[in-house]
Amino acid sequence: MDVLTPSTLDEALRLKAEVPAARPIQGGTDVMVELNFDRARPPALLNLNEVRELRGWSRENGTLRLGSGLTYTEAMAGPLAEAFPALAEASRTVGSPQIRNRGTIGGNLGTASPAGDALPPLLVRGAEVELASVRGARTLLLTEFLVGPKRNALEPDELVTAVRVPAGPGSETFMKVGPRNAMVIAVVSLALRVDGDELLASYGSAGPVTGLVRAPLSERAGFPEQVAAAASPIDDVRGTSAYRRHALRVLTTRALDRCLA
Amino acid sequence: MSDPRATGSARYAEDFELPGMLHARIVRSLFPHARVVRVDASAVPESCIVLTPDDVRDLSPYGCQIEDQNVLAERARHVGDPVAAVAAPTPEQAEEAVPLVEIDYEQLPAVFDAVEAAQPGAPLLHETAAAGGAAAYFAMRPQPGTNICHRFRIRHGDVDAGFAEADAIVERMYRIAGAQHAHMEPHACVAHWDGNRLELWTGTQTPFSMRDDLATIFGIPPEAIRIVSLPMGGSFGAKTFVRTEAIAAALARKAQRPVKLVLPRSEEWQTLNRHPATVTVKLGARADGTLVASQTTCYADTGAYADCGPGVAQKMGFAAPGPYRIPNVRVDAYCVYTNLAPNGAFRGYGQMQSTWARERALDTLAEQLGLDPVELRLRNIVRDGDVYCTGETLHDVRFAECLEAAAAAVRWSEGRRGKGIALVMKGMQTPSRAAIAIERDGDDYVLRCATTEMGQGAKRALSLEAARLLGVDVARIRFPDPDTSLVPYDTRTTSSRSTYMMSRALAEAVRDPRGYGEIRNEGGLDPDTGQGIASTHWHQGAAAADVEVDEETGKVTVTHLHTTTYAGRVVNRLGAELQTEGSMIMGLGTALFEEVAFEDGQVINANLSDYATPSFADVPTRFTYELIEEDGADVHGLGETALPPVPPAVGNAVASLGIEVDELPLKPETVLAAMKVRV
Ligand SMILES: Cc1cc2nc3c(=O)[nH]c(=O)nc-3n(C[C@H](O)[C@H](O)[C@H](O)COP(=O)(O)OP(=O)(O)OC[C@H]3O[C@@H](n4cnc5c(N)ncnc54)[C@H](O)[C@@H]3O)c2cc1C
Repeated sequence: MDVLTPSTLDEALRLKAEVPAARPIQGGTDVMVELNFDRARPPALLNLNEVRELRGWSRENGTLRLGSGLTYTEAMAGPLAEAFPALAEASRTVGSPQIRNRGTIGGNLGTASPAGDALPPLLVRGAEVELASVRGARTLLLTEFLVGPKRNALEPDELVTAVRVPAGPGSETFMKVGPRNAMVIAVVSLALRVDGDELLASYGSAGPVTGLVRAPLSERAGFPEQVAAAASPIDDVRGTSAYRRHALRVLTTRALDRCLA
Repeated sequence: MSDPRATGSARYAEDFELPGMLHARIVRSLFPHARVVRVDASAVPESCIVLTPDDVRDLSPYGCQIEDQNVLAERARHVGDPVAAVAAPTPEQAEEAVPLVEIDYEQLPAVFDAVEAAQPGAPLLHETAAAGGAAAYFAMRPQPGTNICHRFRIRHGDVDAGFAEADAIVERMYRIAGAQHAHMEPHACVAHWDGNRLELWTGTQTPFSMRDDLATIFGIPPEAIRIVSLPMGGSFGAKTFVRTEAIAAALARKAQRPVKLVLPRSEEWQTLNRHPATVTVKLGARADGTLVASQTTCYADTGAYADCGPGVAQKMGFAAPGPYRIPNVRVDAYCVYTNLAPNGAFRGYGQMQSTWARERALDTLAEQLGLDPVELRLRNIVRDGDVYCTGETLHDVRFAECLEAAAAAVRWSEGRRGKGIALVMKGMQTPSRAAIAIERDGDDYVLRCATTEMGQGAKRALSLEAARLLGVDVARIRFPDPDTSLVPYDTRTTSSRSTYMMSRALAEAVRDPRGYGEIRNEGGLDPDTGQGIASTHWHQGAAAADVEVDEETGKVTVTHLHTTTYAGRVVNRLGAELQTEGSMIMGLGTALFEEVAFEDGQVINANLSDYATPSFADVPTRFTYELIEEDGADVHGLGETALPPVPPAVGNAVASLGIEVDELPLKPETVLAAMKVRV
């Protein structure tokens, strides 16, 4: 297996166009697991760790632009944590310090798991995903990007370059229920945001894709039920469908109390 | 001194290699119960050696307590039962060869619950079950025509008369889920034949049982077998008796080359887990709290093969009544075959199950009597010189001290809400034998004994003790890996016995002009009456927990966990503390979320993501323990003592909030369901 290591975005896009089957790798915390378990045998890895353009985050005309190489550790602290508190809270629950140092937002989008912890905070902010290829750049709403369980709208020659959310004020939070307190895939997770007169909730691990539910603030009382009803959880070894719905109701109620306090 | 385990230079069983060795993988049954009708290896490349049932027909069945297992199964009795094996020049080639072995099965009816399996008419796993190996140190009592491979009873006093005298009676059924040892290093061994001599390097706690069982299997004298027990990266009871070694040795015999076999993580769940159990406890007391009768029925699910399950069931039974004065005791413990993966030794050995049941039942009884649970226990607790229900006299008894100290640690007297307490009384391998030889090598002393190192610090503890007794610096003590061709016989490194037994043998050896010391402890129980000597040395401890329950999600958070254990004379302080901490953390896993989950007999969480063990973030903010010490007292084994009382302390703490949970683990869903029936 080849490892291709571009040092600029242009070079990365060119390599991806030349070898579309090359698997992008950032933190490798999902890719290496797949390789270890022999779930995939890509002909090449496209190592994006040297591509500066994908790193860090910035403020641009009223939006926060998060590079696809932004790590959870970076999202957990400093001014970004203040500007995007639900993402910071979610990031703190991811894996272990080692995983948070390596794992990236772009990798979470690439994997598009219904349990991906970065996804609910991004969804309640109405995030847009920036995609690029040698053919040019395009932007998709995150809801359009996530097309199914572990499936996204990336074309074979495309890379995720960044994700953008409005920087505006609002009150938001993230919560997660899991069997233990660290290194755990959520039984359910929930991000909730109160944006002016609108309530937005997004749940993880409770349906084939991370779901987004909206309601006017005036419908606060029925919102927990609405979120629970929108989810389509399954029974598995981590929890029953009934418990997941119940937990979503509880988390939504608590998140509302917290955000509207 | 830099510890090789910290610098990464330590070599474990998994690191051992021989020139020219092949790498093995096991081909496992896909069905819980099925006759193997055809094994076709024609698609496997020439470079691989394939072991099929035909190749092992000359080998004898084996089993440390009941010889019920064949090297390869012609009738698979659990999902994952080894049916064939392959050896190839690389581990990858071996892995790729596994699906190329085609196997046709004829399915048979299966049973997955021990209580069901014990009933007449249940599908039978073994038509015959002969009593076997040296590890069967007690008489087996299989129940013909059933799946019960051993029955153990205690008959003491007259329980019916006792219950007739009682003012309050509780009777409840408790269930405890199976657990996986989750040792970091998987099972690993290398087998090599030198003519008719078998050499085996393996991570095992039981080198001599391994030697004797392999001698039975291959029909060669034990002296023709050399077992070297390499340092293990954890074991917790999993690396005991024959696990993968017979397959590796049979492959090596066929290949005429050394063969290495390392289990992939997922196969650990198919190799050995902890016994799931159903334990029914009935307790009777007078209005003042005096216990008058105790009756316990245990069903230990030993899975497809007995392994040491009869011993586990017996220990589950004989310590079930616990450290209390009870005039009338009845215990019936059954070791039952089911079509689940084999269950065997696991840190706590039977006490995880019966301690949970008894200590939960005591709290329910206290509630019914309107008594403080600590008060109820103290009123009945055994004291020095008391006679246990087995007829043996108890010495050096510290239960009351352990209990009072644990209660004080969680400020019991300031309010009981959210708090729970539990006691453990755990036996040690009886009878057993330990021997050691001390050799001089220049300025150094070499310890030759079969005590194995699995990360518990046995080598450190015994080296420190040798240095103390010989009056030399510990740097001059050498302790090579146990090699059965060089060390005297020792029963095994289990049941927290080695520091206690081997340090006494060591003291003999230091006094002996030839440098040889041997210690035996004698005893044993009549399996039909439970009379005799259960244990020459009892492990004594208490746990106390302070919890919060999220009443909406059902999540239990332990805010303070404390244990007090009786340590006697401490040989290695750091080791004693780490063993206690490790036991407590392991106890939290069993208490809160560890559970081997099955669907139609297949483990559905056979990976360390779905099967969660506690992380450091699960350790309570207040995490305290104390070792009760006594200069000049016996050394007391500490490898397990702080483990079994943890789950019932947590369960009792949850119960103090009116939420009575009878099954482990205390998963949020289980707790929520229990809240619905709260009065
Ligand atoms: C022990 C452990 C614990 C974990 N705990 C959690 C947890 O609590 N919560 C959680 O959500 N996740 C968890 N994960 C999963 C993982 O860490 C996250 O999904 C992480 O965000 C992946 O980021 P990465 O940079 O490591 O991705 P990588 O593994 O490098 O890549 C992941 C996927 O994204 C693709 N990809 C990466 N970058 C790009 C790009 N720029 N453009 C297009 N595709 C790209 C890759 O090809 C791959 O398909 C855990 C993983 C492990 C091993």
